[in-house]
Amino acid sequence: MSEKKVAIVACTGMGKALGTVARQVAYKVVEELRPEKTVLICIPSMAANVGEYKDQVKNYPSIILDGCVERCATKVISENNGTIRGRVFLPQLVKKYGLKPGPRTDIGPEGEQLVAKIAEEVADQVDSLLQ
Amino acid sequence: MSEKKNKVAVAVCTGMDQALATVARYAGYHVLEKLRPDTTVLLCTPALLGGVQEDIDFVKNNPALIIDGCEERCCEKIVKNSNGKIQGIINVKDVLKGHSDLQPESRVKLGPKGMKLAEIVGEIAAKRVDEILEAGKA
Repeated sequence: MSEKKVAIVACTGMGKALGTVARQVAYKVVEELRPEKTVLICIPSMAANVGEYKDQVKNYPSIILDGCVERCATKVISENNGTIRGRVFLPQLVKKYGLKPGPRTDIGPEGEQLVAKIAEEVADQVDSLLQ
Repeated sequence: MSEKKNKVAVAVCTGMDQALATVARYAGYHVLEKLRPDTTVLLCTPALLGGVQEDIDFVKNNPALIIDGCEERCCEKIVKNSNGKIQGIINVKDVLKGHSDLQPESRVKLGPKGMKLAEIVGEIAAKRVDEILEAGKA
């Protein structure tokens, strides 16, 4: 874990469409936009002591994608002594871009556009953190 | 509150790593929204970890059915740690063994085969929900 990377943490919540959006944003950043510079954190695995996620959130700066006001991802990473360096609150970005996702099972074209825009912001944050 | 007695809390792994976690996620939605909307509540695992009261109450007041994605069984461990009353466990990986032609495309997009697998897991879960509630009446 010597190379510097950014840990991307999505809330992955089940209740709301923005949980699905957060998940898709994380995949877009980690798989398409900044694959060499990021690692994807799996909250349930971390909580169950599976994999290296606890070490990754301690050793890498984290960007958190929270889907709702409960901010569960932020709480979980804080409780695991994570180094939070960026926080993205998705309801705010829904207002900013005026794009409303469809339901949680299919976020639809506007949801996809929202994912793309938020992912670009997150990718920029990744670059800033690694400068 | 009748809800406490008559509903099953469906908990899915919500994992990010594997496509089978995405299958578990859609299986959970299939049960909740289409197959058993009146007899289930959807447990949000991250919310449970984040201390959201609604989800703590779901675990406290309802029997739980787990839909895990793989052999790590993260969701089962999390619900157990929260003193959940687990009365059923389904593992997507086990279901896939009987439907090896239904490999999901990726963790981002399941594709038609992956969605079909999610529906099958959902149907298995719906039957288990009925069994749990029937056993609770005895």
